[in-house]
Amino acid sequence: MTLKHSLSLFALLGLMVLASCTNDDTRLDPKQLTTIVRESISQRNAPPRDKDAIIEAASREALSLTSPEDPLASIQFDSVGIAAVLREIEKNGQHTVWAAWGSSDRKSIVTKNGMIAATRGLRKDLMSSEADAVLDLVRNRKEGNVPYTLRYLDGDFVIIEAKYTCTVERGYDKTVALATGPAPALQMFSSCVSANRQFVDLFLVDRSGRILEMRQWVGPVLGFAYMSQLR
Amino acid sequence: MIRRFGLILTLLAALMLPTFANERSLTTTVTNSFGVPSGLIDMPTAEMAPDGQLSINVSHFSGYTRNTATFQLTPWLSGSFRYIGIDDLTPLFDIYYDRSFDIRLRLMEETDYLPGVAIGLQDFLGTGVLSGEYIVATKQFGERLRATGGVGWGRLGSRNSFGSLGSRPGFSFEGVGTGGNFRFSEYFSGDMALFGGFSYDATDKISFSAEYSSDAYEFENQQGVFDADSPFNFAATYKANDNLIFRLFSVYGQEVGLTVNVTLNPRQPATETQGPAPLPVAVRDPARINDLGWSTNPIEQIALSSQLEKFIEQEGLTYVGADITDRTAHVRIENGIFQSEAQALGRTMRIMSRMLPPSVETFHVTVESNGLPLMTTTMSRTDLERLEYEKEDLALQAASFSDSIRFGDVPEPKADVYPNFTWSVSPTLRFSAFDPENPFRADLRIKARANYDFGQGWLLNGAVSVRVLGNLGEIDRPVNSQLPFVRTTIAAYNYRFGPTIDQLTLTKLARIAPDVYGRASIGYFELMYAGVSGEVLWKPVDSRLALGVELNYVQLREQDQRFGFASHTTPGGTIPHVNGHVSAYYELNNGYQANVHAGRYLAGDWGATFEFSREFNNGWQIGAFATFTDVSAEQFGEGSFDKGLFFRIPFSWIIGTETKRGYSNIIRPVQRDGGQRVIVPNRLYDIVSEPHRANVASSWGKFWK
Repeated sequence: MTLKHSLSLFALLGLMVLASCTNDDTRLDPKQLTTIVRESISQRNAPPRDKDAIIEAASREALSLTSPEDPLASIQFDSVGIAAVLREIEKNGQHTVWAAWGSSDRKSIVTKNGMIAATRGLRKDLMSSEADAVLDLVRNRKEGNVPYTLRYLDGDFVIIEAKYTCTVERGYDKTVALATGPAPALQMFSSCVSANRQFVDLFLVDRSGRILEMRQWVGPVLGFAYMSQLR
Repeated sequence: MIRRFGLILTLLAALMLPTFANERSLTTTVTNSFGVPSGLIDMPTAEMAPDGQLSINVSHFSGYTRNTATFQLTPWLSGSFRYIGIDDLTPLFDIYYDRSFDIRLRLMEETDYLPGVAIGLQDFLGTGVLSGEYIVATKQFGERLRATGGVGWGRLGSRNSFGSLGSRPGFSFEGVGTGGNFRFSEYFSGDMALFGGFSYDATDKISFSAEYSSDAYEFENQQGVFDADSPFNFAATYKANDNLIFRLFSVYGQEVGLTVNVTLNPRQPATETQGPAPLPVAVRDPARINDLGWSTNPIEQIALSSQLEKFIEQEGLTYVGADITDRTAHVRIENGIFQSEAQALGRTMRIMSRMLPPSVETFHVTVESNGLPLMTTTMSRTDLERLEYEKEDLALQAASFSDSIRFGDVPEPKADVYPNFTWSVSPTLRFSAFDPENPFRADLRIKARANYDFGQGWLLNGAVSVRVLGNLGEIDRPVNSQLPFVRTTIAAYNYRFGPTIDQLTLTKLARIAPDVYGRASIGYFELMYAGVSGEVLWKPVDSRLALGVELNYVQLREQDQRFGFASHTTPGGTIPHVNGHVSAYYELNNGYQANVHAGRYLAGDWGATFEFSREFNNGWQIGAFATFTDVSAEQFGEGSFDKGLFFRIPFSWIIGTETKRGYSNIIRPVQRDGGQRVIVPNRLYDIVSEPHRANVASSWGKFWK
């Protein structure tokens, strides 16, 4: 079989999927395919938007339309162009599940005591993590060297672990603008190293140990998440 | 002979020195002009491709084209299938086409001080026109330079030989015979010669190679096709991206050629699967765990079932039924959408956690297929809540798996699940490969398929197709088989305009006993055969081993593939009606699967088929098979015995949307009549083993996805 033949075969396979129709909803609906193609084209052609401005506007709206007791946060993943205002949708022990406010989208971010512990429905999700040692130092505003593990699914559905050693250090005092007013916080840097990657996470922590703002490495595709507590 | 083996053993012993610390795997995505992983040009190296890589290499210089598919079966073993065309090699054909297989094995990983070492057999199963064997060592210096040296036999021992191990006849068309067979007496025999070379990565995308070749192209030279004047070859390689590599090379001071190498790795999806995120597990309020008021309210029970159904169906799963009591809930589903059975289980249990009253502590989920309950998974709700964000395999340890029949009390299907009618209309492809007159022919057809699922394992499946366009009808090679014409007449079936009845079968699947499954089928099984078929399979849910037996009474169909039957008397003999096999299936670690089917084949020949494949959790499958029967190589004809490759490409891997559909096919170097089995739809092993424990466990991370 020549290359021409191989390529023709792939083209025919694609055609075979596209041209199918069926009443069986467990089989692939060709409409899904055209949607995928359309979305990827529109994403490519979309004009760049000022995400900060959008998030600020959405944050203001969310704060004005929700009860003062409802926790709200904002998140941005610059490397994949995701930005949203988040609301709490579930709690499981120390874990909090957040989803986009004003949307029924199931994409979710899971935090454990304020640090991102997992994602669901994003690209190359963070499946789980072991961050208690880092959290303990960060929330107590202490310094030290601790282990940190992030887990992902590879393309063959097998869990792969990225094991890091992190050096947690104190930075400068800062002020974080919350909806309830300015709040004093301390910078806590966590510099993590593995055999083939290194990154620095930054947490702004108040005196009670609450993480008010952070820049946290989530994974090789999602990159850094910028998350702020709004309320 | 003893001397030869003595030398090989000495060489191997010398090379298998104690392994030093800091082992490195010499890998490359580049392939040489024979399509095997190598940074050199015509010569092999000890490099391997990344595990699981599949490459298709087309290499051409004047009058000489090689197409090679190579699969890195394990990190240390690769197999290749090659199809070459050489102009004017023999007066019988304008272009001489030839098929061959290679195998390469890494004996030793590279260390700080010692090179990586590999052994390989080129064209070990074919006519032998390219046959050669080698032991080769490669060492990396710094980040960019790799040096290779080796010793070769056969073709690779034909230039400046420094010695020989016994004698080895040179290639001749007279010596080929039926071809396609092992030539054990020739491997690593005859003249030996040294070869070597360098590859240098100038940048991440561009590399250069130079080599001294030990292949003198003796036979091509004799035939006046190609004169390998100089032993030196040079190449410049450009990696356009991770999956596409171009190479310009000069060989033997005679020709300039071009190689295009397309690679993919089943472990790296072309498009990452994007589906809706799962619902989070809902954690109960401990104060409400003993609230049982709901359990005596029938309206509440009905509402619960209907909520479960709604949310499970939203996930794309089929809700078959449920039994809910005050402390236990048992849901029965069919997974027609997720490649990973673990994901189907996880999605179902998350929904159960959200919908069911807090008093329900134990969750059972039974997965069925075609109406057959197969496996029941049990997990406590407390564990589900506790382990949602913990290390993934902790939940696997907390789950238990049972045969649904052994478990008992499986929920009955609700009233409107069966009968279930599904239909589809789609294009389909029939193709013929490796015909000497035209190596690839294909017909595009439109196929309408209808399935009527009566429930209780009763299935009626039908498919009708019509030819749209193609060139399969141009095949006019006379059949020269010495056996009953059981498959060599397939060309006469393939090209029919139609409408043809591609399949029309009534099947009954049954649970005979715990761990034991049965199937009875009657109808038009495939293009060529109709009949009656019975099968019994033993497959415990947590067993890697399965055993089966199948007995068939077959009737040859008319070539128009309507309802008529053809005579079993053929010029090669009479086709017996009865055939069948006993089978053993074994799931090795890491997705490797080994199967053996032994019994009587369509032509009445007795023997066994050996299959070895690698199955990925994401639905890819790549494997090879060989069938040895009591038919002699002469009787079998070209190829000597039946063998080939099979593969499956999941559509979800290509488009990133959850679907269990895929494209699968078998590639045989040559289609003959020996060692052929009838194709019976709904064979048990794939249906039964798919949701069983080994498959669920191997992709358990998806439970939480």
